[in-house]
Amino acid sequence: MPTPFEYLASFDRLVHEPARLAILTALSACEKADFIFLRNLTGLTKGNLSSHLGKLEQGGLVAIEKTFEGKQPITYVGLTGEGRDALKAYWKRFDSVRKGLRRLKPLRTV
Amino acid sequence: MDEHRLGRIRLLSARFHELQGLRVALAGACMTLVVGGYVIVTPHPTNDGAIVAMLASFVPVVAGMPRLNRYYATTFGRQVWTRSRKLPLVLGIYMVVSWSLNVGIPAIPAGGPTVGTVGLVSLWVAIRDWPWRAYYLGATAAVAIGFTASAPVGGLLPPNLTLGVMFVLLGSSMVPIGLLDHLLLVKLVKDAQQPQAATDAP
Repeated sequence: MPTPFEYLASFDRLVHEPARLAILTALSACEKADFIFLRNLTGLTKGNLSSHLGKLEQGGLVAIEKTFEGKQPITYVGLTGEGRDALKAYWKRFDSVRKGLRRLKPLRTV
Repeated sequence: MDEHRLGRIRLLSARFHELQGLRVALAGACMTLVVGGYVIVTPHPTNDGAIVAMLASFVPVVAGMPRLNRYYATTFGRQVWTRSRKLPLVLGIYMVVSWSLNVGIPAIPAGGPTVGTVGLVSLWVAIRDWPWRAYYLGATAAVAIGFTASAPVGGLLPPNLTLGVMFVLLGSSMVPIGLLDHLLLVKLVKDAQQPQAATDAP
């Protein structure tokens, strides 16, 4: 059985980064959301959000769709099936680490 | 990133549409004013008249909705969520059951099933999103008072006023609840925007 530290080492870094985890968490509760919504929820600047979204899109975890509402351009972002699976797997692994760490006893030093 | 913050983000994302409470507050205010005005001004108010007044109160609501939709979209952003396919079926069953209850059991006052449902749904929302939306218990209490006051046994209201007073109670409880939902949305967005998440993409 792998130790909690082995689990920790195997975390998906694309998901584990705090800002990207916040983006994925926000998207996990809906079908898709626009750029302003994600900026409001994550507190990221425009540039940072674009950069993180680019990485998530490259990794196949989100799909970006550009549309128009009237004359206004809107960028929608949604989780892909792969993205939902990755987030689910991340939380499963996270729970395993947490349970494993709880079982560890502190070392006695003389 | 701490789990509480992620929990808040998830709550905000999952309840984003429900928390856009200015729509509910507007509907409640219009219902209270129009139905309340009807009950006060008309010499002999009836339950049928109260229903007409309630339907008339939708006119300013429908007119105000596009402005509120625009406000929420530009201020908080847009989010698309999957609507439940079972909702029309549930609403249909609810209509049939409440109509049958009103027709079959005269002891239940007119509109009783509706306010009962509002009370139960409010209670469910308060429990589901505890402690964030505990104020929904206020709506449950308002509805319970309305129901008790209008019940034929030990009720305080004459039968012709039952629906009018219930609609006024319902509308006046929708105003603070809508405003509190909106304030919660503003607070959660403000909390989420705390500077900690401003990390560069590695």
